[in-house]
Amino acid sequence: MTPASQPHISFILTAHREGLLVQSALRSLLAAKTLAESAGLSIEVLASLDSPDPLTASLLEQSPILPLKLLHLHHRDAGLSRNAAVAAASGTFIAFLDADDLWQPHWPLLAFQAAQKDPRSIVWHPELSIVFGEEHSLFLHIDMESPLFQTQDLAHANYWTSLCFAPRSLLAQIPYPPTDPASGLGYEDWSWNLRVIEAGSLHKSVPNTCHAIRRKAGTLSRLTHAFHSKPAPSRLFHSLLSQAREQGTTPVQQHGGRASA
Amino acid sequence: MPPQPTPASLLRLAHLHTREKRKDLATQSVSQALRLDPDHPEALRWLAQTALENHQLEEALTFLLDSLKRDPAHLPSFHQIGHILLMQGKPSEALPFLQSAAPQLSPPLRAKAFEDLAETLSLLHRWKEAAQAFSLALPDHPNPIPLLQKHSHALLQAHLPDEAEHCLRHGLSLFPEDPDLTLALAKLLLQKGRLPEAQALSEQLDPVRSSRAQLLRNAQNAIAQIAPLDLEFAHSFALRDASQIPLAIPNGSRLMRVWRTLFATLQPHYSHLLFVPSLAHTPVSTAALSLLHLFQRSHGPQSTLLVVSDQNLLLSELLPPNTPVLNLPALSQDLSSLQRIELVFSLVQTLQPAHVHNVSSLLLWEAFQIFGPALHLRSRLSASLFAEDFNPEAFATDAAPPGLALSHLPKCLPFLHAITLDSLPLKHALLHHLALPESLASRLLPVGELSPEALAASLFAPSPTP
Repeated sequence: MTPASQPHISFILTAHREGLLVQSALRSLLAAKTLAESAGLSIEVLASLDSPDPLTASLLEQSPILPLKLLHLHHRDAGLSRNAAVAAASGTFIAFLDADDLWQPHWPLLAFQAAQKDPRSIVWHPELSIVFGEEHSLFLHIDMESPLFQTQDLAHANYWTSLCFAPRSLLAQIPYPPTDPASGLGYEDWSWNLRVIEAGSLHKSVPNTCHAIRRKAGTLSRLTHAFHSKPAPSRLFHSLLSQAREQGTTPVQQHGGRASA
Repeated sequence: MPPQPTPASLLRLAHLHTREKRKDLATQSVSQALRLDPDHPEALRWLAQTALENHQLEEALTFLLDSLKRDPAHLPSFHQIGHILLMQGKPSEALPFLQSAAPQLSPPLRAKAFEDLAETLSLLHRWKEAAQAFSLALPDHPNPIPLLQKHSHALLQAHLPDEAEHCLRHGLSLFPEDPDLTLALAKLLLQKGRLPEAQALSEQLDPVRSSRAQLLRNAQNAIAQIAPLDLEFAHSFALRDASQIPLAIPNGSRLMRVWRTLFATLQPHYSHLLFVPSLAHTPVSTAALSLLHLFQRSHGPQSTLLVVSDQNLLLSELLPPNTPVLNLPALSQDLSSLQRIELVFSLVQTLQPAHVHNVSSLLLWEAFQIFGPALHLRSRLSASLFAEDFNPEAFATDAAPPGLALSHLPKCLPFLHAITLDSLPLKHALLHHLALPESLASRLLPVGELSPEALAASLFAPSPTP
């Protein structure tokens, strides 16, 4: 069981240069904290400030909305910031929120309850992300145990955003890789999602939960959505092929000696 | 005088309060019962249930184990203990409790106990026994569709693919057109290499058809709850309800379907990829076939996947027997060129071959330009150029394309560890025109000047990192 001194969940707000938008994120954290605490959970709230602009820094340093444990960082890297925040957190579980995004208030509570019901090593995601701002869409997070899921799809598309809920021990064991947009490897969350599966853990979605993801021009996520941003190489897909071959389930297409133009 | 309450009467009262949702009064009655009889098994089970509802698994376990001391034959407690141990990730400890309880319980508890037993055996990778337990859980189970999928999965893991397929087909006979079972069957058929059947099944379904309405309702609720937190969000959705927002499914595209088909044809032992625009009676194809011979001689006949990339023209009779070939245009004719470049990237990232060689494939040159920095992290990249690929006069006359050596090579050169050339003059022309330093010039290999052994050594030997 969770020791008295150890919070059930650490909420981690990752901030950078979001300016006034952090106020909405703080309201979102407060709403989620209130709901979770009313269900008997203990919550700690950390904000990681990775090379912030002065406005973002001052809004978080003097937050009247809710008390925060502040972490000043100079990584200029979303993945490394998250790793540092995880190291500074003490909750049994971690729930990430980017400082320009929002949670549906019951998200951490329902994710916690889902995690309690399923003791396997799992990274939890909401069922939907509501994308708003420059564009509007509903992004479906596919559960790895759904029939919709096929591992090889992850070579082409990132199924899950970075605002996950996961055991702190898992995040410590599988840290985020650094981002290097110059090499074309710009999705630290996509690479990390693959690493989680390689390590034998699952990505699952929590029914009836949503996040709101703000799409605005010029953000890092916008830049890494550029066509050529891809995850770091992973052995996951090659292992899948080897496994299929061992089971004799992948056909070999061979040619030679006959015309098939 | 009213009759003195007994533990049994107090527990009846507690159940009554619970039904009326008077949790506090129910707790009082149970506490009173425990004061009269501290080891009363039903009261302990009630405490266990309350602890479970509060996610206090350890406490619940203790209460249940205590209750068994006085009531050692209470099978539902065996089941609950097994269930809690399973939730705690202790399948080995859960197993004996569930094995004792499941066969002796009556419906409907029996189905749930067999399901827990099956889950436990799955976690222990005892797949045959797990499959047996799933089959015993099915008859009385209130929610059989997920169970049928798990049963099929266990059968597949137990190396019984035909039984796994039969299980899903049986499920579909009970629940015709169920989208989850249909997709599970499509996935299984894909794994078994029965691509046309799998594709037909998956394409006849909108994969989230059955759940779309529920998703939209959830989104609408979420919008109402999030709107008070953020003005921009509230404004965005003030005049728009969830049904007007497009639903993006990350694997719902035509590109993804093509990728799945392509992936199913791959073999993990392809250590070399050789790209050619088409395979016909052309000088480029002849050069590619020479290189294919060199690759196969150096690494084995099944080592190299020949990828026909630009035109759907593949004269198979030109190839040595049993050469693995991927005819990309035949698979990807509906895709845009950018999508086909993404396919090439995924192909290379998946196989992570030792070597990728390009014989005039425009598609691969484009992929090198965009993804070169990422591709060369795991694979050596090389290319062949021909005299026709170098046409500097084109810049002056604008009458013809300048050729790959001028349009693509300069940007790709940092990632290429070798470039074979069809003549020594081409090497001199490139050196002069591109003003290459000596370190890069050594990567230009005129094939006429090299023996096959020397060419193989240059192409395949580990090179200094570009």
